[in-house]
Amino acid sequence: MKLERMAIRNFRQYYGTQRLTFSVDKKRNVTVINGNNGAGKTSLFLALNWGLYGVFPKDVGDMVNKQAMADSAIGGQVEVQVEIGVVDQGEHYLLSRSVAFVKDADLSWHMKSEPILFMNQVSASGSAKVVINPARQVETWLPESVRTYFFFDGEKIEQFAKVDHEDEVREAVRKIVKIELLERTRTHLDMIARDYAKELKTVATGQLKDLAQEHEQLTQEKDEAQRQYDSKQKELSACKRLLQEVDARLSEVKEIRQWVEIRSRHEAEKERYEQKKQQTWDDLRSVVSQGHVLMSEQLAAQAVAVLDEKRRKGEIPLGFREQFLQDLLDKQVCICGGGLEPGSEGRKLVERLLSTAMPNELEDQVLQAAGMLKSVALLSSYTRRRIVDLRKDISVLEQQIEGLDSQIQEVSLHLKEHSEVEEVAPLESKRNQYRDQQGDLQIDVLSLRLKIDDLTTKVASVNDRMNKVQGLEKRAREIQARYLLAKESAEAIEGILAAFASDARASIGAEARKVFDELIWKDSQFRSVDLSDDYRLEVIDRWGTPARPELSAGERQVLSLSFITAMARVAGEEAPIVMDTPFGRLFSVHREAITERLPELTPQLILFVQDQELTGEARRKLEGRIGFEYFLDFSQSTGCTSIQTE
Amino acid sequence: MPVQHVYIDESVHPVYKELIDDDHPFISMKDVFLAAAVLGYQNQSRVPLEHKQDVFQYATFSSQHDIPTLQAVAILATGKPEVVADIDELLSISQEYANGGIGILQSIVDAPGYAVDNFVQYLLVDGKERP
Repeated sequence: MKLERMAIRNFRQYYGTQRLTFSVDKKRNVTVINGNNGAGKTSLFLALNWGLYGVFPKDVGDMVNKQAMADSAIGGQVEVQVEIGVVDQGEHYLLSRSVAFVKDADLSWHMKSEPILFMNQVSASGSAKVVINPARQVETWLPESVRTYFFFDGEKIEQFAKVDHEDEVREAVRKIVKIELLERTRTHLDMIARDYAKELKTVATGQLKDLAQEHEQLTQEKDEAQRQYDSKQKELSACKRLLQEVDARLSEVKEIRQWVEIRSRHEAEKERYEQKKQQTWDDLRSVVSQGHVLMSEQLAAQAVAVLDEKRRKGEIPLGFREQFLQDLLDKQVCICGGGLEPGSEGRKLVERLLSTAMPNELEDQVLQAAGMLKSVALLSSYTRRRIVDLRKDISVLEQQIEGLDSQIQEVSLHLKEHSEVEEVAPLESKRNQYRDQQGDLQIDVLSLRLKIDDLTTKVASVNDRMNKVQGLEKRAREIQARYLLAKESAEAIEGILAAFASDARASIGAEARKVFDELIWKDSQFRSVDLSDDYRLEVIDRWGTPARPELSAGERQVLSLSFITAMARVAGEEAPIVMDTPFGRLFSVHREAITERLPELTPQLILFVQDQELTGEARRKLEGRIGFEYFLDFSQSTGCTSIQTE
Repeated sequence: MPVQHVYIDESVHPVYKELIDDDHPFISMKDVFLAAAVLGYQNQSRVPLEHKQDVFQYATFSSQHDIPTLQAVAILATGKPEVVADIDELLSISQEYANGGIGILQSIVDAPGYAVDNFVQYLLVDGKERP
C-alpha cells in the first residue's frame, strides 16, 4: 500500500482545505514536508493517523480549527475532514473521515456526533464503488496494531534500543508477524482443555477399577465356596452310602436285626419330626415377621378413640350422606316427621351437619379405616395365639426329637456293648462315626449354601453398581479423549508458535543486521546487531561484545530504525514509513548515513522535518530520492498553517 | 395412577437387609418398615430422611394387616381423620417414624441371644409393658 494524497479541512491549525500529494515513484519515493516547530508537522502526522485509524490523542488539544469555529455563528457547525488517497496492489481508494463540531452559546464547541468513515474504490475510468467495510479495508493495508512501527515519531523510536525494553521488542515482533493469532488459538485450546479437565473431575470416579476388583474377589470367593460345596456334597453322598452299607451289613446279622429295624424306624421318625420342626419354625418366623400387628394394637385402639371423639363432636357424621341431608332440607321435613322450615331449630341443626359433612368418598374411607382399626385387636389376638401355639409345637417337637435321639442312642449302645456277634461292635462304632460325620457335613453344606447365596447377592449388587459407574466411566473416557485432543492441539500450536516466533525473531535479527550495516556510519565502533532469544536488541561492538548501554541517541535511533525496517521486511507488509522529526537528535554525519540508505529500505518514505534537520550533505544525499517537497507556512496573524510547495 | 414408592434412608439400608436374613425374624423389608414405624411413634422418634432410597411399593402393603398400622400412626400423629385418604401424607409420616425407630428395632432384635427369640420375647412380654 502507498499513500497517494491527503486533503485536510479545518483540522487543527489548518483552516479550510489544504492538500498535498505523496510521491509513489519507485525511485523518487521520498516526500519531504518541512516546517519549523509549531508549524504543523505533527498536525499532519496526526491527520494521517486519524484519517486512517480514527486515532486522535486526548492530550494534544482540539481537533477542530479555532479560526473556523470563530467564524461560525452560535449553533453553527464546522466540519473537520481528512481525505486520503491510497493505492494498493494496483487499486485506488479514496478514504474520508469527517466529524462536525457545533458552536455553543458560551463560544465553546462540542462534537455533534461520532466521526463518519467513508471509502470509495476508484477505477481507472473514474467510476467509484463504495467499500462496505472501510475500517476492515484499512486493516488489510496496515493493521492498526502495528501502525506505530510504520508511522512514528522519530524522537521516540529509540525506545526499542533502550536497555530493559525487551517487552516492547517482543510485543512488536508478535504483532508484526501476527503471532497473536496463533497465541489466541493456543489460549483458546488451553481453555477448552481446562474446561474438560474440570468436567472430568466431576465425572470420573475411578470407581470402576475398584468395583471390578471387588467383583473379581467376590466371584473368586463364590467359586471357591461352590467348589467346597460340591466337594462336601460328594463327601455327604459318600458318607450316606457308607452308612447304608453299614446298615445293610448290620441288617444281615440275624441276632441284631430287630434292633436295627427299631433304630431305623426311630431315625425315620426323628427325620420326620425334624422336618416338621423346620416347617413349624418357618411358620413361626412368618407370623413373627408381622409382629407389627401386635405392636400396633394399642395404637389402633387410640386411633379409634380419636375417631370416635371426632364423631361425637360432629366432625365425622354418623353415616349420613350429604345428598340425604340436602334432600331433607329441600323437603323441609325430617325423617322423624318434624318440620325443617327456614329459621327453625331443626333446620339449623341439619344445616350444621351438612356444613361439617365430609365429601362422600372421604367419609367412606374414614369409616372404613375406623372399621379396619377396630379389627386390629382381633388380628393381634390371633397373631399372639399363633405365636404361642407355634412355639409350643416347636417345643413339643424338640422334646420328641430328643426322645427319639435317646432311644437311638440306647440301641446303638446296646449294639456296641451287648451284642455277642463279634463284628457288630466295630460296625456300630463305624456307623456312629459316619453319623457324626454326616451331621457335620450337613452343617457344612448348609453353611456353604448360605454363603453362596450371600455372595451371589453381593455379586449382583456389585454388577448393578458397575453398570451405573460404567455409564459414568464411558462419559469420563469421552471427556478424557477430548481433553487430550485439546491439550495436544494446544501443545502442537505452542510448538508451532515457538518455532514460528523463533524463526521470525531470527529473520528479523538477520534483517536488522543487514539494515544496520547499511545505516551505520563507517567510523562507528559498532559492527552488528543481534536480536537475542529473550528479545534483547543488542549492538555488537568491534570487540564482539554487547555494547547497548554505551550507545548514543543517534546510534539508538539507527538501531531502532534497523529493527523497524527489518520487521517491515520480514512481515511482508508493503507500507510507507512515515517519520515525524526523524533526525532531530542526530549529528550531521549520522544523518548523512541514514538519508543515503533509508529510502532504499522502504517502498515509500514520508518525512516531516524541521528546517535545520535536512541540510548540507544529508540533504544532498536525499535529493535524488525526493519526489515531492512541501513547506508549512504558519501565519502569526491568523494562527493557521498553509501547505506550500515552495 | 402413578406407582407410589416407599422410601427409607439409604444409610439404614444395610440394617434392613440384615434384619431379613435367615437368622433374623423378618421375611420382608415391608415388615421391618412397619415394626420400625410403630417403635418410632411409640418412642416419639420422627426423623426426616436425608438420602432417600426406594425399597418397595405402596401396593405391597396388605389392606388387612398393614394399612391399619400406617393409618393408626398417621391419625395419632396428626389428629386428623382425613389423613387416611392421603397416601402421600400417610407414607411421609410413616417413613419418618420408621427412620426414627429402625435403630430401636435393631437393638431389640440383636440383643444377646437368638434374634427371633429376642423379638418374640419383645412381642409377647416386653412390648406389652409399654404405654
